[in-house]
Amino acid sequence: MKQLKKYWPFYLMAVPAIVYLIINNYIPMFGLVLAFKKINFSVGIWESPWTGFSNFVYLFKTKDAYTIFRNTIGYNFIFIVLGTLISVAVAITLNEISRVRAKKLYQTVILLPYMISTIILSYLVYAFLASGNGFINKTVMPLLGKEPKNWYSDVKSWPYILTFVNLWKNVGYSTIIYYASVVGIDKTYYEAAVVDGAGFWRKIWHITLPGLKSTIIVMTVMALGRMFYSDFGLFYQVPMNNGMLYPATNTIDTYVYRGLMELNDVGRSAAAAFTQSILGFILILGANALVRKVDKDNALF
Amino acid sequence: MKISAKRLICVVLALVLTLSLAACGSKTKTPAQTNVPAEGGSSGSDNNAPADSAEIPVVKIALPSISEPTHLEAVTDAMNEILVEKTGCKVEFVILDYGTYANQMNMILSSGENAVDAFHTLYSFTLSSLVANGQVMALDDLLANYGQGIIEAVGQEYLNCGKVNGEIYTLPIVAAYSNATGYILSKEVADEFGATDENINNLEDLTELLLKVKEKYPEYNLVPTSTAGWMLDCSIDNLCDTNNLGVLMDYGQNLTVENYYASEHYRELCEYAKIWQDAGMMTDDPLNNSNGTMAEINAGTALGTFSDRPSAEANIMDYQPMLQIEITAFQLCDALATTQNVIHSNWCIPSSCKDPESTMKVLNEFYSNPELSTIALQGIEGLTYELNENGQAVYPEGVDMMNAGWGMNMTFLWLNPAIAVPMVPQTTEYWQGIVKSNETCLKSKALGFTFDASNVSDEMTACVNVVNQYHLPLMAGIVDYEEVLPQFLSALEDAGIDKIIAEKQAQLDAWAAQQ
Repeated sequence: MKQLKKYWPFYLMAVPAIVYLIINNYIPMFGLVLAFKKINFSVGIWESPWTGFSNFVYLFKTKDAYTIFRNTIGYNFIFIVLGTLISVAVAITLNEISRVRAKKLYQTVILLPYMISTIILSYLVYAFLASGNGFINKTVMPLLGKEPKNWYSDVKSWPYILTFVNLWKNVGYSTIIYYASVVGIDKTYYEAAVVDGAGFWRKIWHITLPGLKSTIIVMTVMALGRMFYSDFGLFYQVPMNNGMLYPATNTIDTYVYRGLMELNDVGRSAAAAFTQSILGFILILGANALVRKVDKDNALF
Repeated sequence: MKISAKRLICVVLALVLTLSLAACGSKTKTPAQTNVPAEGGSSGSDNNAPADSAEIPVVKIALPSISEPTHLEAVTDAMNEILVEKTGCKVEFVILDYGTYANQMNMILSSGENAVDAFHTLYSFTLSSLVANGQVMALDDLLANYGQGIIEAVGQEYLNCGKVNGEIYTLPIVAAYSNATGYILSKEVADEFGATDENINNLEDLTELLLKVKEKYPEYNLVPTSTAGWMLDCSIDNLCDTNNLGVLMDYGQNLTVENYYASEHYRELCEYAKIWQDAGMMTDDPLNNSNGTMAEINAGTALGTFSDRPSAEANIMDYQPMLQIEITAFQLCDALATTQNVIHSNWCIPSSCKDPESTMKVLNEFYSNPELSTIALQGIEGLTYELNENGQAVYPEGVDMMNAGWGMNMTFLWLNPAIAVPMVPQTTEYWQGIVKSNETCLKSKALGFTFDASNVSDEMTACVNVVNQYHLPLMAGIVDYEEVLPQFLSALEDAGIDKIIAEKQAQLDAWAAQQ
């Protein structure tokens, strides 16, 4: 109460955001009951019968459960590790560019792929990988003296293709966030380091990276919360829903989509999303507890 | 201020909670109350008594549209003139874009609001799941009271195909209720090789012909592929399960449910696919083409494709109008009527409909009134079509399908194209032939049976994923079937196909016992 009195202008400023959160994030949570019901639209949500946990069973009962969980978690893990490494590297490099106009240009160019819709992206990828007229098969492979390859039936190359596409698309966005933190580091640290005789790598190791630490932790912990979700567009549209590639492209989201497209079962879809968010929630709590134990100041909460 | 911040938040949250609960409650109640089949007829809109214009009930019909219907008002007015006189009701069209129709309809159906009173399922909704979700209404009483024209036009046997759990939930449009695997080919090429419907009778004949054609015209595809599939196997009854998980083989002439993918017949298809693929007849990256096979013929990259109409003539009539080359067609198996084929194109009344009697009256009129059906299909004479000397509809000077201002000749959508003025090249005789073929065609022994998947939906989800993974690659001949087919079968087994087959057999036996 004391706080409210003291800081009321700030609370007032937060009101629109709180209202937004309640309307957009909290009220829809009632939808969670769908996961425990067999929905009958003619009687409505509340009158539909309860079914306990039966809507959850199908996710774990199938033999594909291993594949879809492995793919979802595996890809996310790679995306987090490589994504962070590359964006931090690019952010630091960007910071070293001194010409303002060049810097602006690079910033924009890096961010551009993030703005492209996945559907368009899938056709860009197709333009590269098409077996007859694709850029890779028609130009790159002959240059390397290799035989053209049927990319859309080669499961083994898709983990690499998807990782590349995901990084190409998303690195720009996180680079901007890291770049903002790099810019925020006090210039006097660097000046002092130069006086002490520190070289380029020393400055990065002792000043830039420690300065970025909290941003990296926040971004990673947030990404961990989405560990059990997958970018549906990336895994469904980019491989063009090609059955041959399922061992490398089937994730929880695409599995649920394909399985329930025809059954149109709201309860099961809700159950899948519920499972994903619960697992993600546990992961966030765990990661945060770990961070708090190691380095209390940088924990999220 | 005495209230603490915490308490304040609690109060606000509680308020929000109750408000939203109340809102949900009131919304979901309404459809439940109106879900009672109409018998009373107390609405006062008697057929013969012309009601005041203020009281005329309006029936809202969802209409998928490819081009902008600029003449919507004129067409609706022309329809209403007839409808008000004959049924005492009016129609109003809810125009939905063809491309997003399924999504929009799904939202309308899930919202529980009375946004439309009748809709076409447009190949996007499975009847059994619409019924299981309680999204559509049972029609038996309505049909008995107001649907005489429908019963006459469709026939009781075929209407029964819309039954789920013993009640009719959907109305199939008047169309050919049987399908046959067929192939359409450029007429010029067919003539060159002397191929006719008489001498091309099965996949073996066809493959022999295609190999010769491919040799002469190596740059063309002959088996264009599409993500939606490219060859419909019409020699089986899939029991309304498009994933063919447990089917009746051999034209559904005995009631034993079998595993389609384990059959010798399926293996043969894989063999043919391999031959076609190895001869280079298929589209590059066969699983990536989402354009549709007909589009490939128009793009000039293919000379022919598989088709699914019940006869060679029907294939030409239906597909010639959308193709830029002259075609001929071959029928590759007997035409078979199955429940799936009958309710392929069908209309439902959502459970949120508030005035089912009026809706049924209007639908009945569309089924039985030639004048009204003509307006629905061809629009208004002089505006969107003209009559030629044979009494067929043709486009007026400068008008084509895209700028006509009304969805022209949508015979796949409207309730009874057989009684309407036909559009060139179709003729009245052609439509009479279709109606006749429905009486004479081969019928599956399970005609009228619909499988309800809700008891085995866990297994269905798993099996659908397996089928998605293996079926199209096998049909595209891009994998070695000797090696992959056994993998496919064991994956299906792991996913529980035996349980689905057993459930189908049990439901089918129970259904057969009632017949």
